[in-house]
Amino acid sequence: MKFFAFHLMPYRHLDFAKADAYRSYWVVLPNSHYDPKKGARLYQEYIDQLVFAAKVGFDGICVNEHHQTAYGLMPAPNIIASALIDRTRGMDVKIAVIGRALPIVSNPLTIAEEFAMLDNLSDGRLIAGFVRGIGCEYHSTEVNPIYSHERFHEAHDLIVRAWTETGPFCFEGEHYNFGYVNTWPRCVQAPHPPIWIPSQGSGETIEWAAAPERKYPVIMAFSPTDAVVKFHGSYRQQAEKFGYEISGDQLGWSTPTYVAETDEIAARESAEHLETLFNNFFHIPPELLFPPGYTSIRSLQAMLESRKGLAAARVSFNDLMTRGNVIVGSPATVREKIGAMHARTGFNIMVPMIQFGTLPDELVKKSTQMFAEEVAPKLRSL
Amino acid sequence: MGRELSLQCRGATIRYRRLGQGPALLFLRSEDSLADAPAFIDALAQDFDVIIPDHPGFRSSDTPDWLKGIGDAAYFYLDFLAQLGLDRVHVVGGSLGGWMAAEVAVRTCERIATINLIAPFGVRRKGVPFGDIFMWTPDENLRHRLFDPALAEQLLAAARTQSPETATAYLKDRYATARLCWHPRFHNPELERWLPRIVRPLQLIWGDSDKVVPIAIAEAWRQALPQARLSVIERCGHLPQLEHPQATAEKIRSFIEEAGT
Repeated sequence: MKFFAFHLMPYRHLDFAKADAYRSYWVVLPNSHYDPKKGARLYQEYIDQLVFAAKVGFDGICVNEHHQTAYGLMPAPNIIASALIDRTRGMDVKIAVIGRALPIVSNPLTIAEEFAMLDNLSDGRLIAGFVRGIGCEYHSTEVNPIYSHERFHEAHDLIVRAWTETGPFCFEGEHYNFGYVNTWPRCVQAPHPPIWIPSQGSGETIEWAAAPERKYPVIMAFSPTDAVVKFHGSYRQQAEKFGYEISGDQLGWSTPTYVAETDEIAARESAEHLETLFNNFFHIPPELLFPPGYTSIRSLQAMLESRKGLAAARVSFNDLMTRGNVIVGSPATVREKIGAMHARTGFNIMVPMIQFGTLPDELVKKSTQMFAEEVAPKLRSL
Repeated sequence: MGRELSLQCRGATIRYRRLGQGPALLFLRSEDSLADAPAFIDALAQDFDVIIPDHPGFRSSDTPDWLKGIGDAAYFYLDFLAQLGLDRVHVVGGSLGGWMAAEVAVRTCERIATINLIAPFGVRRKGVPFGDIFMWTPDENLRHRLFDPALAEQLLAAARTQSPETATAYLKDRYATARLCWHPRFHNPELERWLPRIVRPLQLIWGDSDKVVPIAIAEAWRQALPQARLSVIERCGHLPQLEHPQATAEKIRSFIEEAGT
C-alpha cells in the first residue's frame, strides 16, 4: 500500500457565524470574508504541512482545484504543485494534482502544457488527476453543465493525444477544435504522467476509467465506508467485464484522517474541525451541487433521495464516525480501519486528508507524523 | 382540453395541444413546469385556433440529439409552422417561449402575422441581471415568479403533493432550460443585433414586478424595435398569463385586432 497526503487548503480563519448566513460557502460567499494577511500566512502553513508529510515518509503529496470558495484556496493547483516540487527537490516523492477540472476550461491544451511543465520541473514525479469539478464550478464559470461529461471526455482525449502524438496535428471535436496541437515541452514520463480519477462514485466514471486502454486509478473521496466498498467492488466487476483482473493500484480511498495517542484524544482533538468541514465548508444546496446535466436525471433523483433529512440537521462527529466518512483514532485503531478496508476491497492507494476544516497547524503535524511513523509502516506490505 | 396531437421532426416526436376556433395562434410556453393557466388559454381559444406545443426537450416531447442551442429551437419552429401549413399565424410567447418566438421571427416573418412577447428572455440589458432561476430552490422559483404571495403559497401547497412523475417532469424541463439558457445566460447576443429584421406588429407584455426578467430590460427591446408597443401589467410578476389571465388575453386580442391582419 502507498500513502498520499492530501490537502484542500481551506480558509480556516472564517467567521463561521457570519458565513452561515449565506446560501453556501461556495460561489455566493462574498470574498470580503477573506483576509489576505491571514490568507498569505495560511498558504505558507499549508505548503509546509505537505512538505512535512513528504519528509516524514509519505509517498506523495496531493492538491486539488476548486473555485470561488472558502472550502479550498487552490483555484490554480498547479501553482501550489510548482512550489511543492521545488520544496521537495531531490526527494523520491510524487506530486499529485488530483485534479484539474477539464470541462470548465475553454482551452484544455493549457492543462496539457502545464502538466508537461510540472513533469519536467519535477523530473517525472507528477501524477495528473482529471476531474469534472463539482457542480458549483459550473455556476462560477458559467460553463454549461449539460455538456460536462462530453467536454470531460473530449478534453481528456485531446490532452492524452497532445502528450503522446507527434505534433503538430489537428484536433476536431464537438467542443474543442485546434488546427495546431504541438505541445512543448513533452512529458518526462513515458508515455505520459499517471492519470488518476478522483470520483464521488458514479457508475459512468467507473466504466470509463476501467476500460482496458485506460485502467486509471479511481480515488473515491468523501464517502461512507460502505459506499467505498461498493464502489471498489463495482470497479472490480467492471474490470472483469472488460476481461482483466483489477490491481489494487487502481483503487484509491481519500478521507479525512486523524491520528493521536489514544482514540479518546484523537476524537477530542479532531471532532469540531471535522464537523466544520462537513457542516460549514461543505454546505452546498442541491441547486449548486447538482446543476442540470451534471448528472443524469435518474442519478440526481437518487442523490436527492439519499440526502433527504441530511440538509436540515447538522451531522455530528459521531455520525461521521459511525458512517465511516472519516478515520480517527490511535495508531492501532487507524491501522485496523485501513487494514479492514484493504481486506474488503484490496485497495492500495490510501489518501489521508491530513488537514480538514479548522484543524490547526500543530495538530496537523502531530497527526501526520504519527501516521507516517506508526500507521503507514505496518501497512506498506499489504 | 382540446385535441392532443403530435408530429415527427427529424427523428423526434413533438406533442402539442390544439383548441378553439378562429385564426391560428401559436402559444410558445415559458420554461417553468406550471400547468397552463386555463383562464388564459380558454380566453384566447374563444377567438383563436390555439396551438400549444411541448417544446423539443420539454414536458412530453422528445429530447432530440439536434437540440443544442436556441437556434435549433428556432429552426424547429420554422419546420413546425411549415408542417402544419400555418402561413399567417399569430405568435405569442412567454419567457423562454418569447425568446424562441423572436428567434423564429428574425430568421423570417414569412408565416407570421403578429407577435406578442410576454417578459421574454433573449435580449439582455447590461446592469440589469436576470433572476438566477438555476440557483433558486423550487420554492424560490415559484415565489420569485409571482407578485401575489398568496397565489404562490397556494401553488406551493399543491406542488407538495405532486406525483413522482411530476417531479421528474420538473427536472426534465430544468435540464432542457439549462441546455438552451445556461450560457450565454438567457440571451443570444446575435438576436439583439438582428431584431430590426422583425417586420410584423410586435407587442411586449410585462409585469411591473418581474424578478426573473426585470421590466427594465424592455428598454433594450424598444431600442432595437422602436415601433413595438410595451404594455405593462401592474401588480404582476413574471407570469402575467397566470396572475392576470383575462387582462393578458385581452391585451393580446386587442393588439391583434388593431393590427388588422
